[in-house]
Amino acid sequence: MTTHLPRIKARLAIHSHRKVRGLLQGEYASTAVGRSMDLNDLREYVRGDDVRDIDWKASARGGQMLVKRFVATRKHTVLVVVSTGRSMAAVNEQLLPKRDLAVFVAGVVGWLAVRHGDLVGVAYGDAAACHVRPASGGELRLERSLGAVHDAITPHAAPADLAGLLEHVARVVRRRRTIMVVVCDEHGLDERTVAALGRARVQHEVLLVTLDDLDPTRRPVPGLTDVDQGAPLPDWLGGDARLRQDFVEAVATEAAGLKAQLARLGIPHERVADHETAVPAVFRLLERHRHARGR
Amino acid sequence: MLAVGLAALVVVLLLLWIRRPRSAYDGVLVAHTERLRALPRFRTLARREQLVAALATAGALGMVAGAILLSARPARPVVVEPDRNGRDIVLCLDVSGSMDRWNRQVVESFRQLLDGLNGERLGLTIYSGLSISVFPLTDDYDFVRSKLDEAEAAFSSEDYDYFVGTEAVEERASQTGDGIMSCLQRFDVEHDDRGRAVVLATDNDPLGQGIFTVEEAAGEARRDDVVVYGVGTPGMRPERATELADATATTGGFMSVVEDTGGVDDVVRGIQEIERDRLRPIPTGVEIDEPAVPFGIAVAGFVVLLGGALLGRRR
Repeated sequence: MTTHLPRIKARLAIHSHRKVRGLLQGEYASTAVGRSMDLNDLREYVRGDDVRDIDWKASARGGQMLVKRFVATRKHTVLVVVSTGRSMAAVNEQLLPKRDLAVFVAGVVGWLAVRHGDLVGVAYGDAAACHVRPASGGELRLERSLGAVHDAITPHAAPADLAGLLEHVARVVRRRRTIMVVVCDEHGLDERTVAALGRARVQHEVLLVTLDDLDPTRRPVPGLTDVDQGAPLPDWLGGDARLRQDFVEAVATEAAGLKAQLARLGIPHERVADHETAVPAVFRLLERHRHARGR
Repeated sequence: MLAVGLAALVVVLLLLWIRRPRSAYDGVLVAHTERLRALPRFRTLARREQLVAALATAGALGMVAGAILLSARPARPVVVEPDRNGRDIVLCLDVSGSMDRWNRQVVESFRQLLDGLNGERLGLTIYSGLSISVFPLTDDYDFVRSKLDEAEAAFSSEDYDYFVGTEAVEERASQTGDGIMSCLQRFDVEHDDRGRAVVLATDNDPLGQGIFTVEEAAGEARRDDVVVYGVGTPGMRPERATELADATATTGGFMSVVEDTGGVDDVVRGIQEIERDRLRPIPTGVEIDEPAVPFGIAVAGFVVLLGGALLGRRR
């Protein structure tokens, strides 16, 4: 069932004709200077440089030995980590299934990486089981990974466990310095998650995308069901203004706390609310990552 | 048996309903509700909702309990003595000339008895050759009293006008059989559950040929469940007295002859006593419905349920 990527490509195509066209060209920065076909700049020869790198013509013109420097074509590895607990089976504020959004964000990141020629690995899991699909460059492989993520998210799944998933990734993925894009729906980070993120931050470039949740007090949606308890939510939630206000305040406090925590960790973070804002959010994230690298 | 079966069925259905598979994931799913549940306001509201639900449940239970109790039709056993004064007494007075004195006494003693009456109906018929209903059966004692006064006055003064209607054209007087028959017709048919008695004052000395004999009239009285009490006079002929006594005995009554010394009063009093005893009902246990308490419970339950519903709707 190759249905995920075509959809993502279609959306990206729409976006590429909009304001973010430029971003699509650049994508994200290389992490090191190395050997490749792309000339970066020239510098003076120092002892030990490869003789093959000497730019003879430039040296002749300049009267000094110049050596070509290249942008490394070392392939990046993008590791998309999706927390697939049952909370992902719920809907977000726009009544969109968070599952679709999570798959979409993972797909956008993965597709950008695949198009860039990088390797894409997908890790997903909940409190019960974690899976890592090793990095590879294939489009089909990415499609399958997205399908696996999609299928893993059901209301009957175990609760989400981001820390456990990150720990599992740390154990299993030997590769270092990947670009790790974490897609989750956490509202606050407990100590274990902070520790896991901190460790991941040391080993990888960590980018965090969070999905928000429906505010059950905001609007009267009939038949609201708590995905954790499998029971309907009380029908009086939408009727109390004070409850609504208290909840909004609590959510705002949590969001501020999460922001502060992630800032302390140095992890760029974007909140994704729907498919339209997802693409710009991913680009912003990659942009911040690039700027962070540039410093 | 049926109740036990139904109760078991209800319990089984309840268990099935409680243990039904929860396939509640078809609604709009929401995650991370623990943030909401942790809010103090949520707890307050939840407690309030629980209270309202408990109130409504209690109300509904009360209603159901009240309805069940009501359907059981609670009753209180009570021993009641039925109305023992449900009697009809027709005074049947022979107004041939010789009877005036006795009639006056009969009327007078009945007039004295009036105060003790409660619920009995009294009627007065006089006869000789023909019969006249002076007043029909009634429990309007003021009216009865006035009529009896009138009759007593007439008997005292031998007021011919009072009796003129009883004079037959042909030679006929003191027709006891006809008198009894016409007195029997004074009872109304609808109240055949009331005790019926005729107090017949006569010397049974007919003149001429009547339509009914005393025996025929007595048979008719027995058929109608009417007890005839005879009040004879001291001067009446023995065979006439026997005839009357036999006739009254057929109906279950008796005849007493008024002694010159005793007067009618004792006789009438005796008749009253005997009638009362004859009709004394056996006290029976009946069950009086007492729906007040279960009805109150049901209504209270309904009010509580309504209150709970209104409280729940008020949001």
